[in-house]
Amino acid sequence: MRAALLYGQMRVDGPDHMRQSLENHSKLVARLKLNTEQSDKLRSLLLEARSYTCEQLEAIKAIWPDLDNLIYFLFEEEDRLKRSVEKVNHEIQTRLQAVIADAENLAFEVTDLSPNEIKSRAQRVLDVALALDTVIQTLGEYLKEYNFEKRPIAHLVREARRVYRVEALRHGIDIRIRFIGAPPLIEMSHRHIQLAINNLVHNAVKYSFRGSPGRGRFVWIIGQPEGNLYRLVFENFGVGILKEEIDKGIIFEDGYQGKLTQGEHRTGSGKGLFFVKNIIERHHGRIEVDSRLVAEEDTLEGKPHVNRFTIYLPYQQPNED
Amino acid sequence: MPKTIIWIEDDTDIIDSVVRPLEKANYIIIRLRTVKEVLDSIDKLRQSDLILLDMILSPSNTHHEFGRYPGLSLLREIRGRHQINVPVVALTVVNQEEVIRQLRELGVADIIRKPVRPSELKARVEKALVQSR
Repeated sequence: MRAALLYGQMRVDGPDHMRQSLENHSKLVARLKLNTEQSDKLRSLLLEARSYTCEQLEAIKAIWPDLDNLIYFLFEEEDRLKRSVEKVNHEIQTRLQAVIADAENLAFEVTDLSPNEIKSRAQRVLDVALALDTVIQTLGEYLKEYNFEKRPIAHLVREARRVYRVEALRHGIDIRIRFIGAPPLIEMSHRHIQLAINNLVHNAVKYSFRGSPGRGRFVWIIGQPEGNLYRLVFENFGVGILKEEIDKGIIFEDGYQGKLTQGEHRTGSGKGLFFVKNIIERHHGRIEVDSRLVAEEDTLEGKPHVNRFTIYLPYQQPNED
Repeated sequence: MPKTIIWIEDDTDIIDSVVRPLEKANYIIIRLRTVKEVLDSIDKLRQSDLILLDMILSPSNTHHEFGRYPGLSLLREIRGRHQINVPVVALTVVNQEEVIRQLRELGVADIIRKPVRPSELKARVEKALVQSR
């Protein structure tokens, strides 16, 4: 009953929703091996499902004795979506909490602070707000329009370092940048590339092993030309990525979180890398990932890996004529 | 004698400033970030004056049985197996009715939804401490 009601909740409004609804229905028909007549009858029943009676439900079961499987499948899907929403909500609320806390503390303490301290604390509020913006924009709905223009890639890299610097330092990590040769201007939709770089830097910090006195940890961002592309490498030392996740590309799937990242103290929505890949490919670039085990011994944080995410961006976008 | 608050939260690195007014008021804040750290610190919990508890801790390789809301499972463990009756204030983004119901059944002193202003957190923690006397 619940499965039917879930479908019945969908109002078939507009061409996009109709297309999505029909696609979902086709997949389901294939999955449950319904014939054409069954498929048509089921679809018309499901579209009327808002006010289902017991008789109508019985009618569905008569066509489709396997209704239980669909219900379980839909429940699993619903549960998966709820968990995904919960993860995103958690990420957003956590960052928002930091903004509110830093801002209120600054407001209450401003009379006790020197001008430099005020500036530093206000910058901190801004940086956390920018980190929150990155999380929100990763949801994908806000930045549909790409606007290409030439921008200095170095500015975006330095901005990302600034936004995540304090969080990194709390982990005992220093974010370092190296440009081989003069960093160029690149034709890009700079809001999108900024978000992509922010995501990669944030991931590098989040999944780094923590530093301690006498054992510094670094996240490296290295830029250099490579033929007619510009290459940016984001490297860290920390939690690894399984080879099969890289080889099958599932590390870039929407909502996927690497198995080795499900450790003791790291949360995330699983949307960042999916978002990054889309942005880079929209720029006619590509992204590669490499994760190498450096020691077999398990530490408290897991087995240590050197991880590299490499993005390649063309200096200019091709003419779309 | 300064009062001790155990703060069970996996994102202390990001939201550490929310407890700043409490620290400025000389409360000792002990941060525990994982299920393992909490279970290894039972004596500290027992000797504390209040526990500030998040529901969502990172999934743990070693404590899958703590489920979707490890904070809730930890609270059951603390109250049940370890018989620790220190007042607990839940500080969480989780808003599901079922989770709230279970928290109330487990006798939490207060449920505070994030994001919260640091001044409000301090006020509600202090209220919980007063009510627990």
